[in-house]
Amino acid sequence: MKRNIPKRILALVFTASILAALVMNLRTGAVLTLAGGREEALPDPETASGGDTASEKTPEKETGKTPSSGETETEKESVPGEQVFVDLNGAMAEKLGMKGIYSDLDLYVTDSGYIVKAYPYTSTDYEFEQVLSLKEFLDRNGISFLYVNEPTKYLEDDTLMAEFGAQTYVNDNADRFLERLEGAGVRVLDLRKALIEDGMDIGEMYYKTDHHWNVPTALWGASRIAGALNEDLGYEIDLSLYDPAAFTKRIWEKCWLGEQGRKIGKSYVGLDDYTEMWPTYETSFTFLDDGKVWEGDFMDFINEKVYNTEADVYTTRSWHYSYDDNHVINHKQEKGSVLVIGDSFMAPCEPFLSLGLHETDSICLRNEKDSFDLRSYILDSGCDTVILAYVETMIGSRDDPDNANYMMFDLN
Amino acid sequence: MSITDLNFLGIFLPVTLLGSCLFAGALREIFLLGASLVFYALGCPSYLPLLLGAVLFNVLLGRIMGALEERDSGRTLLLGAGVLADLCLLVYFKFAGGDLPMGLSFFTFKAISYLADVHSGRARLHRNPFHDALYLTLFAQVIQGPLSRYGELEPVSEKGRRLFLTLPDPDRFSEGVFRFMTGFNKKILLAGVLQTIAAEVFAADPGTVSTAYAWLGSIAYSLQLYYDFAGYSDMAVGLTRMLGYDCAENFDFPYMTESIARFWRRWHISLGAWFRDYVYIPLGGSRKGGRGRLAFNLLAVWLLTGLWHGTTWNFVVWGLVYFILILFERLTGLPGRISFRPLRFLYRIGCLVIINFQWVIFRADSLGRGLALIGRMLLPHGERTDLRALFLLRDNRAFLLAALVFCFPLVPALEKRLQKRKGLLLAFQCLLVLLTAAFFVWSLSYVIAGASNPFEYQNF
Repeated sequence: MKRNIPKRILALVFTASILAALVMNLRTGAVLTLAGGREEALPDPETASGGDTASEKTPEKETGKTPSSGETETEKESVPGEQVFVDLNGAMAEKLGMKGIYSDLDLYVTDSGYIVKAYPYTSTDYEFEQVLSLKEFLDRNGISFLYVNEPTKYLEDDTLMAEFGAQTYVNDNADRFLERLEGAGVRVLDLRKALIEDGMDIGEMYYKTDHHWNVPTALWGASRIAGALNEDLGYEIDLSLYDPAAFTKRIWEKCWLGEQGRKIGKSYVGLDDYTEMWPTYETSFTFLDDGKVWEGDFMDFINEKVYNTEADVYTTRSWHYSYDDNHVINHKQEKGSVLVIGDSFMAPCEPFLSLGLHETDSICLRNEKDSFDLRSYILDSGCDTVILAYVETMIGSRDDPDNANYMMFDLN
Repeated sequence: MSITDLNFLGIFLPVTLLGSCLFAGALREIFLLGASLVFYALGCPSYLPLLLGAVLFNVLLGRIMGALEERDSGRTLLLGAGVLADLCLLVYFKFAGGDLPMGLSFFTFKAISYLADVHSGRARLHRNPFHDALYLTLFAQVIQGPLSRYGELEPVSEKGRRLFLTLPDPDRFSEGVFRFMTGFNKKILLAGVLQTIAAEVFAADPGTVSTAYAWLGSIAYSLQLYYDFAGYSDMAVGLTRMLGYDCAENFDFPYMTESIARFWRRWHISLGAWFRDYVYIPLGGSRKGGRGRLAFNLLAVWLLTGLWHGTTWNFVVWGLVYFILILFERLTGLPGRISFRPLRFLYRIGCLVIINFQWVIFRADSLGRGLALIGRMLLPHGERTDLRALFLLRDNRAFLLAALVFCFPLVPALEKRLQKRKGLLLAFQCLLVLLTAAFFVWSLSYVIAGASNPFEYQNF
């Protein structure tokens, strides 16, 4: 072996680094949590091809004016320096102009740093049969039914083909599914059509780094759902309750990173802005949750402890879940009792929707136990309308038993 | 546990290196054997008892053979029993389906070479039987080689009969670290990124892909497999050197090949050498009998090479095609008989194209799918290119370019040219080390971001 000083220095640095890692490990045991890389630490969007990722656990319900879940703000243990590496990875991908660094997970980054995902084709047969069966059950019991289709981050499947050569079927799946539902007499509110009618810009309706819609869009969604309840089901909800002008806005700029962004790195896609909204008019609610009952106002829907700008954006709780969907009674309204079978898009939407209804309850089927009996729950709730509101990426989640949303269309 | 895992880098490797410095002689080898078994247990716990049994069986046979007189017929009997048992185990698991015990194909061939070398006297048994077990299980080589020989595993830096404290030779150790980091970079940065292209193309319905997409996928796979396996081999060589042993080289810029036969003297060198020493030459090689015998011997080697990789038809066909090509070269004397340089260059390109087609057969889920993909590459139906192929090409251009460039021995060539210019050589070495370290950090970022994949040859 020839003497090579630079290599000797390299070996010295390498040895010192792995010994330092060992010492750190012995002290914290942290590297053990990294055995499988970030896949263990963060949700794998592929396993949740329905769009709502596996980690979308509904945050603990708040019990009272002061949110209780603030004690543990982080979702996972963090290893010092871990995010530096993720940022480095993202920064290099950006420098190299890689739009599909996670194309194996069907994730792509647009020129504006907007993360989008491709979804596979599905027949929609299972979803159609389940929704139809639920509707027949509701008809038999004199309960109205509305299906709400929440859009994903793009309205044309061709968008991904043109930019990334990637085939996606999410809008095609939704088109076929909704057409079948309407053909079978199901009332459908397709929010894709609604946003076109309202001249909205889809590029401003979602977070760049997360698959969810933002709070102003959730308010808009609530107003359109309330409008559909009026038009199709004879409700008399005062739509001015949803006028954005009747809300106070608080905007945090470049403050949080969505689940998709945590995978790709903030150095690549940047941070998202966040808008918190609450009504300027007086509100009064009774919150009912797992046997606990408390009185409050609209602010009780919001866990403001989530808005921690000092926290590590990679590990802190998703800001999307600062709004919680609760079972509430609105003392300012006398009519309307609605049960929402929804997904995480409804978390910030349902509090707004409840402003125009006397009683609003919500369930998310992926969070329920196997023994949960949806139909008994519906009958026991005494609601006059069931709203099934899912993002269109949920259609087809039944095709993969490992999908986190596998149970979402199990409507029995 | 893989040698690219963070737990390997942050726990296993430093502990093992510390232990290998703390102990010496037989105690050191016992420690390394223990570490290797822990490594195996962490990666494949359910088959650890099987590995232990197989190691015990082979070492016992080897030791009994070593104790018998040279002319004792019992030695041959023991060799036959050992080889048969090892092969039965391999054949059973290969044909039984399901997951193969980690590194079984490599273990079997090392065990056979151990028994054969002890039988033939080519290898002199070490005084410490744990050394034999260490040879069979050394963590750096147990998953996918190289298929080093028993005689090669000599602790180079040891002197005397101490039981404690072994100071590593600084140049051997630093060369080992450099090789390990180089291999890590090859595996994570090049093979890892190219894998996403190859996996996508090979998962697609061959009947629907465009010609450009099929070519891109096949080239990406040819490069991926090279950087995956050569990267692993670099890491194995590096780790073995860090521990103070020497290790056989496994790759020599195979895509620089002049012919098909020479490709196999540059690719997975230790496997080729194994078949040469333990199958081809015992059968008579090229010196006994005429062309018919030569053809039979080559057929045996390539059929077995195919089956060693897998028992499905695509591996059988892959091996048979290499048999035909190599026999063709042997019988025609090509490319040695071509004196016109442009024609030799064309022959070279032709070899690479054929090797690329062979990797398609090798990688495809079935022979039919592989042939269908080759069909799309050769006979375009409709689309010759598509947006997806262009996107993948554009998105991964830096990695594809780097992968192509590093198929050539640029670094060794530059080092050679600078040998007489000391100052420039030092500057070049500094640059090389800095780049290696920078790429290593970048590679780590891929591992931490969860973008590292298992080694391809781990499945064989």
